[in-house]
Amino acid sequence: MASEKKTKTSLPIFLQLPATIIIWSLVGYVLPYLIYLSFNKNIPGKGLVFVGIENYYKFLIDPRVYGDLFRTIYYSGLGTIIEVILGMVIALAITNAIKNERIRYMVFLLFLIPMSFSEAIVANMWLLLVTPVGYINSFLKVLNLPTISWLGSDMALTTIIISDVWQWTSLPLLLIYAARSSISKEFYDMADLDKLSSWQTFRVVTWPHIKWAVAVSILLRFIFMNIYIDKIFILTYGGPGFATETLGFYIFLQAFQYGAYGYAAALSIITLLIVGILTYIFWKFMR
Amino acid sequence: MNLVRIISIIIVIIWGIFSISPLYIVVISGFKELNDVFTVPPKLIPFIDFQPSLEAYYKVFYTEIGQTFITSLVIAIAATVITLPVVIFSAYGFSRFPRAAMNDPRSFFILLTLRMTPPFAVVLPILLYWSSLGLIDTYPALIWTYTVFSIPLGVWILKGFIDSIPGRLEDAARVDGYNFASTFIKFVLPLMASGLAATIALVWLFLWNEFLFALKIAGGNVVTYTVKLPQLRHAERIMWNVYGAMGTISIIPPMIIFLAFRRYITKLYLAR
Amino acid sequence: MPEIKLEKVTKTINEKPIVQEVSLEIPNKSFYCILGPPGSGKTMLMRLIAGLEAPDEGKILFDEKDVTNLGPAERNVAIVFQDFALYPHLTAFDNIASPLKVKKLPMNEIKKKVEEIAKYLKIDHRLTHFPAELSGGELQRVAIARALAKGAEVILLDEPLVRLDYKIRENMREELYKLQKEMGKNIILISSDPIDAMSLAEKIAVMKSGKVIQTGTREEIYERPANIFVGRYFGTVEMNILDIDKVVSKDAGKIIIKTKSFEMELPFCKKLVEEKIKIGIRAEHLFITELSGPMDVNFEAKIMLTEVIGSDTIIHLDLGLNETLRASVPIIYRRKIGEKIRIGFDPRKIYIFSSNGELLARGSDLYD
Repeated sequence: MASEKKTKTSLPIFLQLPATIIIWSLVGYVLPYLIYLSFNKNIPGKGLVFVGIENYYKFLIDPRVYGDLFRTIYYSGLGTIIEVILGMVIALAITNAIKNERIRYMVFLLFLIPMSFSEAIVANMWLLLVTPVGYINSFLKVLNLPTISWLGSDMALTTIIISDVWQWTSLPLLLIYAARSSISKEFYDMADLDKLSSWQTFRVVTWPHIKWAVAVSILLRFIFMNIYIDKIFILTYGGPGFATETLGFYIFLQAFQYGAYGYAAALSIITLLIVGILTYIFWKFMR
Repeated sequence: MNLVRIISIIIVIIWGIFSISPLYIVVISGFKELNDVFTVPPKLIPFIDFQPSLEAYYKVFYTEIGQTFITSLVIAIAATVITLPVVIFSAYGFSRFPRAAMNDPRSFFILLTLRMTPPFAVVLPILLYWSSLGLIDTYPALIWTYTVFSIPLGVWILKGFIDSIPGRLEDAARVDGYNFASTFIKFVLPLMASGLAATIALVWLFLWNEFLFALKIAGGNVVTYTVKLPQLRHAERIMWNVYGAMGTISIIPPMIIFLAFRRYITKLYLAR
Repeated sequence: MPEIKLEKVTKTINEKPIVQEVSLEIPNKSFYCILGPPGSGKTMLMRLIAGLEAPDEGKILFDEKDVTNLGPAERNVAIVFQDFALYPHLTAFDNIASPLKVKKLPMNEIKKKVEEIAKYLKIDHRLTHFPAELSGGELQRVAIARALAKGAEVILLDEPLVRLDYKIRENMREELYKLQKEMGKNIILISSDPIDAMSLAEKIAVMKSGKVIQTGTREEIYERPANIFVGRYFGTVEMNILDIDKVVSKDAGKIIIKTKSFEMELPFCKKLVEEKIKIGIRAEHLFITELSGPMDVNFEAKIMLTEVIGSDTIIHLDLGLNETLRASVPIIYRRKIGEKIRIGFDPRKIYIFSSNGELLARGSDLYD
């Protein structure tokens, strides 16, 4: 009967309808509104005033943006590199250090826990440690060492990176460890037979198998480090001065501190475009 | 016991200490009296360095602070419940009908982009949106926003699981004579069960941990614990032990979920 | 029971034609085999016949009724899948009962029917077990039982023997044959193993690259393959194909066909002299003259390898000058590698193919 064929063709569409409707109920407004905002300027007292593409080239001549850009790249770049390298080192260290499979698995799980917490909670946790009277400084005082101003303008960004490393090294650790576990022992037996050094074994046996996990880790961490500003918000609120202000946080400030809706919107649109491109790269990479 | 092994053991021990320390500190801080929290030297061992006290926890449970945990719980559960059926249908569609309209890889890509969207880029227009509807700082606003952002995450996770169920069983059911609804209920859902559990857990976790939207779209009347916690710093006297107590409570659900679903976490990130 | 007709059925996926303009007639109450190498489109054809997929073009008719737009339930077909597709979370009993439950029959009727079928297939003692606990052969039977329980008139078997061990496979073939005869249903077997087709099917369709190359009984396809592909594919051992050096006319109405290492004499045929041809000779038509006695064509060859399969031996022979042949003898024949033996065959048995692979004639045709 014709009815079965009709259901056949429209069924997949029905399946996607709820998700589509819900998502577009928000996005359908948000996206156009962002675009609309980006062509306007919010003047206190007057409201929105049309300014054309002023917001779009404003950021090119905004000196603060360049500092932010540098800090953003420094933050997410350095953070990602440290997390991936550390993750790899620890994954391999776990494999080498512990021969008992059960214990090895339990240690592995233990090391993954930081990844499960929220960014905000981790920031709060670290506050207990890095606040001027916090635990780390107390510890340093006991050792008669000078205390460090963890949240001062010199160290602040580094401190945030450390807290992020504490939390997210677990992700590369997870992926690389899993990749490493899937390498069958025979490869290593062969390397032993051929009397390869540790470095050679790594290069010839381990690395080819974990390459993909390393690449995914880099991509994921780089993208996600740029997406969340929770840690910055809670630990330093962008300061002191501009010491921990990244582009993302700058956009947030423009919107909620300075009320510059238009400018924030324009920057958001640019951000979304960049995210789109990065997601595309991620997408292509995963297929 | 060669050099490499020794270095490996050292690395594991150091990282172990580094990983556990902050957790340990947060937990013990929650059990201290206020004056014991930040001391020189730091008081680290209960009963020896300091007397554990439930002072902080009393404050949490008997004031509005504890209420924020309930708020977070309710919102996370509500959004997860709404998201679930939507995600089941959508993930099934993407998995089984990749050539159909709205189910093809390109549409999936759009979903993925949503997941990767930075909250800071969209929180302003979303705020103005709810404002114009008069729903600022209400449960529905936050729950709905959360739902929108949970769907891509849920679909991403669940689709991976459905992909691993052979489609042949659905063919067999069709041949046996079951219509789509019966096939789905009798033969797809039971086999999806573990994947479904993992999806629910991970979506819920994402919402339990969320900060920025909870801060800006709600934050006045509707306060989640993620918002409340940093606010403790603005009190006249910073209650650091309450800080520790709240921190301790907030990390319990993630740890439980994480350990319960550890196998799926791996699969999730490794899915090609 | 129904007679099934396919008219120019086509199915394309992502611009690739999986099934191209296939027209077939499957007589009712028959054991039909759709045979083809992997990638030939036979699985898709099965899905189209079953109603799991709809063709992009063409029509499918059951007893002259157009079922093209109907699903498997409405067409009343049953499928035994290659990987059995049993519901892992249900017992064998529930798996078999599944199509009956859809019909909403009362429970005691269902119980009776399931036990009846299970007994017939000798799995009644395993009904309470789950698929994970059953052996390959048992899973196969449960899958067949489920198909029978449905009471469908057309049963499609998708490479049913591929998952079974060698020994069980032979038993299964016997049982399937018996099944079809006793139940009088229309059984369509999809397979890539020509032995399945040769031992079970009344009629066969050979597929390649989405097209049906030839249909016919097994004798027809064996004796008159449409082209070299069918000739080589349809046989227990692949047919030997030889390039012909030259064909010369001899007086008295004879021609001599010369290969690189031997020659044979045949009655005159003008076409053979004019065109470039290839000769095919089946392994089972090559004989060891020492055992079979002298033959019209014979020559010397060196043994490269002997393979014993079951009770037959396949002998790989080197004729020199890069020409090789495989002979199949129904005994166990072990000789040393490098030994020289004499091989012979009856030129009436040869298959003569044109340069583009089509069958021109059999050797015997020239003698009529």
